[in-house]
Amino acid sequence: MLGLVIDTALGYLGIGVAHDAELLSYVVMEKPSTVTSLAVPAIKNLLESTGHKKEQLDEIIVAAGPGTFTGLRTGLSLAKGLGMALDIPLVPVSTLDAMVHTVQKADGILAAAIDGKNSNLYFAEYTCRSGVLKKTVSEMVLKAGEGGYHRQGHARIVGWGVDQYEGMLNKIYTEGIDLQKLDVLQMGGALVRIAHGKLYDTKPVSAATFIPRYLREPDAKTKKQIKVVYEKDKAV
Amino acid sequence: MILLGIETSCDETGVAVIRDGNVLTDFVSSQIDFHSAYGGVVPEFASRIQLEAIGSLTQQACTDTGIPLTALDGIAVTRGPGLIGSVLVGVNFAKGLAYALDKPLIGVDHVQAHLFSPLIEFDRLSFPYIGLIVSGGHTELYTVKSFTDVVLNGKTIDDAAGEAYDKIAGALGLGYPGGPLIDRIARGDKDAAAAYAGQGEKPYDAVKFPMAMMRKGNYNFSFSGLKTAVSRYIKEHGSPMTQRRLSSIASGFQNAVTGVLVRKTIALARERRMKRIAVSGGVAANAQLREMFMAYRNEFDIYIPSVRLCTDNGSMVGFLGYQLMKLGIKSNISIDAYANNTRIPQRARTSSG
Repeated sequence: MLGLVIDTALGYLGIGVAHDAELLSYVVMEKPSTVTSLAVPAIKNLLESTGHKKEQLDEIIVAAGPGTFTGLRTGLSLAKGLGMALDIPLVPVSTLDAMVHTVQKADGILAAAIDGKNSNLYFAEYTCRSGVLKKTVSEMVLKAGEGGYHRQGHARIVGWGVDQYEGMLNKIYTEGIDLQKLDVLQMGGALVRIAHGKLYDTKPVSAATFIPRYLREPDAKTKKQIKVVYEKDKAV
Repeated sequence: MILLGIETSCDETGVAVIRDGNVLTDFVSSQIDFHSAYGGVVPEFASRIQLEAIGSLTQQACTDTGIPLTALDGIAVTRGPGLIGSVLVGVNFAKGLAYALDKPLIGVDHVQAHLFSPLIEFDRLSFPYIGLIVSGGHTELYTVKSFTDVVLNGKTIDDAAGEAYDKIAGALGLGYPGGPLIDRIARGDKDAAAAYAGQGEKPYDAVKFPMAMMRKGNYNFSFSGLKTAVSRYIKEHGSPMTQRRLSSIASGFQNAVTGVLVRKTIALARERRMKRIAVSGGVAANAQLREMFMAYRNEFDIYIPSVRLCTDNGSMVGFLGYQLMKLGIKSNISIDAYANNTRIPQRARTSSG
């Protein structure tokens, strides 16, 4: 199985190529404004440098959110186009799941947190026992200034842009937290491991109909699809 | 030559298949019902729905025409101006298709796609012509010489005409999008007025609102002063809002907007000695604007496409993409999307004059 990894959910551009569960190569460009212009050239280069052709790809593993507004739309619409044209599925992986898998596993509580802007914190929590991670709190939104979630113990938290929420996160755990910044270079491997281990119900989906999972606000529902017919020289 | 045309610059998602400049199929996913609950387009939701709709619309377009993606010769897409989150969805989706299919990508300017769209429906229309683009985001007047040479003669210095319609409709309590309702009420549709105002069957006179920038030779537009004048009038005289008052405000406002659009376009055509005038963009669906232009058909050839081609659609993007591709123009795969008019590398040469 040859997989392409597209990770733009947090605003940076991460592109990887994987053979089964093994990540062959992964590059990261951290300037958000370059994602649209550099994504395709980066994919081209990476496939060439690993000795592959795009036609050999079997799947596209994507960081499917939560994440930044622009980052998600950019990467996921590109992945949709690629998947449909190559007739291969997407494998959407939760960004929070992938973040937790970037760090060394040690028994105890692990959590992942992303700045969701406007005082929103995207959050999920996991418990590690004998090297096996289990999700104990599904993806949710914590509001700054509001109480809510509390838990006994100490947690290691992998964060992205969450420095200003440190006090709030500290209050969740009775024995405090150890907050570490996400090492983006580890995201490629984490996404591939989750996709291939089918962890957290991760499974391939149709590129054409894939809908990302949003944590904030209701998903827009109403839409009408109309077919339009134009007739020559019939207008006013 | 078969092209896919993709349009996602505002709240609509449009996908069309064009063969040799003719529209084979055109699908659009409209979000009006959703945004009307909020009184306007919500950018984040717009691009959410677009990301959801774009794949299935493309599938439908392929199924409808029996043309698989692999049979396409090029992918044309709107790269701006528009809501950046929305434009990005189309541009990146198109890039994915173009790269994976090894086919050219043609980035098209949204305003220019509107400008050339009357050519889709009218075989008789030829260059050069005067083109008026009037929509919720744009009010621009051009001399159109060829697919790669257009001259910008004037544009709005503040609000677009459609934007003024939406704001005034909001102030009159007509909801979003209020343009079509203002048009109906202004033209004397009593049922439409009765749904939004109290009793009052007496005949009404349109309120006289000011038209801005009417100096000869000035082809720019301004609608913010009109917007303020109408809003102030509503505040002072709008309570209670009778049908008669609603009708007189709506028609006064509409007279001022359409009057300035028509007068300036006709004046420019006369000054440049142009025979052909084409009008497009969402506000070109306005029945009064159409009638007022058609009143000049003895002096000019007037081309206003069907209502569906006036609003945003994939056909106009695919059509311009096809014309540009025929001229050997295509985009680099690393093109970016743009939100406003300040970046115009891949569009036709625009000079002011």
